[in-house]
Amino acid sequence: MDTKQIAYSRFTEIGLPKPRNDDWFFFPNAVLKNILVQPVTESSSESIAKEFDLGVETEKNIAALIPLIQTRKAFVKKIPANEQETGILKARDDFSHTLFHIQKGADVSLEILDNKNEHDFTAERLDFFLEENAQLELFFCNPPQKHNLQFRHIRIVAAANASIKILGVQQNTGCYRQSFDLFLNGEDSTVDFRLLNKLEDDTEAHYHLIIHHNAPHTKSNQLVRQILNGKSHVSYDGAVHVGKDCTEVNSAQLINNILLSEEAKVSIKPVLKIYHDDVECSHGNTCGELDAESLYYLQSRGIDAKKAEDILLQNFAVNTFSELNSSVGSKRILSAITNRA
Amino acid sequence: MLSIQNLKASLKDGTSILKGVNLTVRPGEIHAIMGPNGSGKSSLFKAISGHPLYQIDSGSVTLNGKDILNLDISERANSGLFISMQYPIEIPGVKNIDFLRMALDSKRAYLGLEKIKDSEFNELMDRYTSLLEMDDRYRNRGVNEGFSGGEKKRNEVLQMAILNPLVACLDETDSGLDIDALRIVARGINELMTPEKSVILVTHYQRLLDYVKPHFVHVLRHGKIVQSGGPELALQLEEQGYDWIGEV
Repeated sequence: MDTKQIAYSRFTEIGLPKPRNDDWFFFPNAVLKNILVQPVTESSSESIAKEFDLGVETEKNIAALIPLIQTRKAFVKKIPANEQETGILKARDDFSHTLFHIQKGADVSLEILDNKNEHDFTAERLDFFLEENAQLELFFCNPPQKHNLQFRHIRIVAAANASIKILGVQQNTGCYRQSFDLFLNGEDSTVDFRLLNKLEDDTEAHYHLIIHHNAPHTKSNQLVRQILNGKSHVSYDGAVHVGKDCTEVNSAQLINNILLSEEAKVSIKPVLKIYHDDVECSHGNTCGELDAESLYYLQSRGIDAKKAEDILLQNFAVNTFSELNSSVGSKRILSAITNRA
Repeated sequence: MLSIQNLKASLKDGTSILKGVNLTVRPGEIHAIMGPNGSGKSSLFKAISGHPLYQIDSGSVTLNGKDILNLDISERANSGLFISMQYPIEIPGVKNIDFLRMALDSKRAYLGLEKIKDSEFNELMDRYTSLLEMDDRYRNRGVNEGFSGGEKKRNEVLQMAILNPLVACLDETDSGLDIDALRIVARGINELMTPEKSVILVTHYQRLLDYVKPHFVHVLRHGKIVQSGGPELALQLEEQGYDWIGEV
């Protein structure tokens, strides 16, 4: 069987998520009725599954399977060893699958652009395989647009000394779910994940992330900041798995939320599964309003209430990324945040 | 002129704090308010500036004849009221120089003036940072970010200098200052005083008043001004404390 057929077989096996499915607990499952997956009638022309393990046989996430089933043709690209590459990723169709093979020592920075979304349901999957010492920066900061229902699944497998940086600013409306499966399979591989959500109206934004520390001396950092207004609802289900024999793993997760309206809602689920004692893992979560004393201080200097609020929110947003070393992504994101203020 | 008449104010939870404060501050005057801890000194400044934790129960506050209690916090500031905080807060990520310029431009917009020109603003900054012996680090750091207690107080006086208020209310500006810093800050306050402006100082100690000479000294106790006098009253308080002063 090829990838398409395996994915379809797996999809029919696990079916659509039920309300008691932990991984979809916060998601408004009623919208899943919009999902129509066509049976696979022909084989895909690629032989991706033979060359790369996409984890399809054991996949539990339908958002990771649907793009494989529905896409017409996968986009596959190899970045040769020690090459540098910057570029953009944009799905051409409602359903897309993209795979990057980043060879030893290559340094890649890619911006993910949103496809213009006019359909009820879209889904994309992005796979990255990083060889030793490879570096990948993925970032997204699209202007706001409405998604009726969008899935995006990103799966990255990193070998020794490889580094992953994911930077995102999300301001879309509608309903979407982004899932990340990040595998630190080689020693000293790292991931830095930073996300800023600025949500309004009745937006439903749901994030599901698992970082698999499968090797010693691996390091991960998650910094997520969310500013919620209107009736928006965001969930962040962030898990860190540390495997047996994985010594001196370091992992941190910090999620800060500012609620600007009484009807906005945030759901946070940190999960730590640790199978080794010699690790350092932390997680924290804060939730509140804008600091009243800071607002007062700014206003007491003549700055009006709206502007004072904007300054503090801008500051909160910028600080998600400000301490990063300068890179294509960080510069682009900081510029986007500043210009949209 | 700032006129506070029979001002009664309480916290939003209903706790009564100010129980009928009367104070008139004319242009060119320096007033010092002293009093035991918890007597309502800082609360007086917060209440007249519109701090969200306070509500005005009765009384009036006018600045040059204009009722400021109907204005929001920023409008009160832009009308010429400046409060130097006892504990200035940090706003990391907002550059001090950008903050100062935003504040000044807000005031100018309120007064119907154009934004300040670069050259004019830089000239102001150079003049006042030099007066307060503040180096360039203050400009590009976040507002009060990582500042020592003394540096924060100096930064408050810098803001006062840039914003050029009619009435400056300085809440324990001397606390946290070493001897040299106290002298520098006091020099700043004195140099910024003009016949059109007034200063109200809240302090616990005579030492600031050795440098900034008040025309009037008041004792605030249990939310009321219970004694007023000249500079000699501060010396008497330093010597005898507050116990000899009765309630009114």
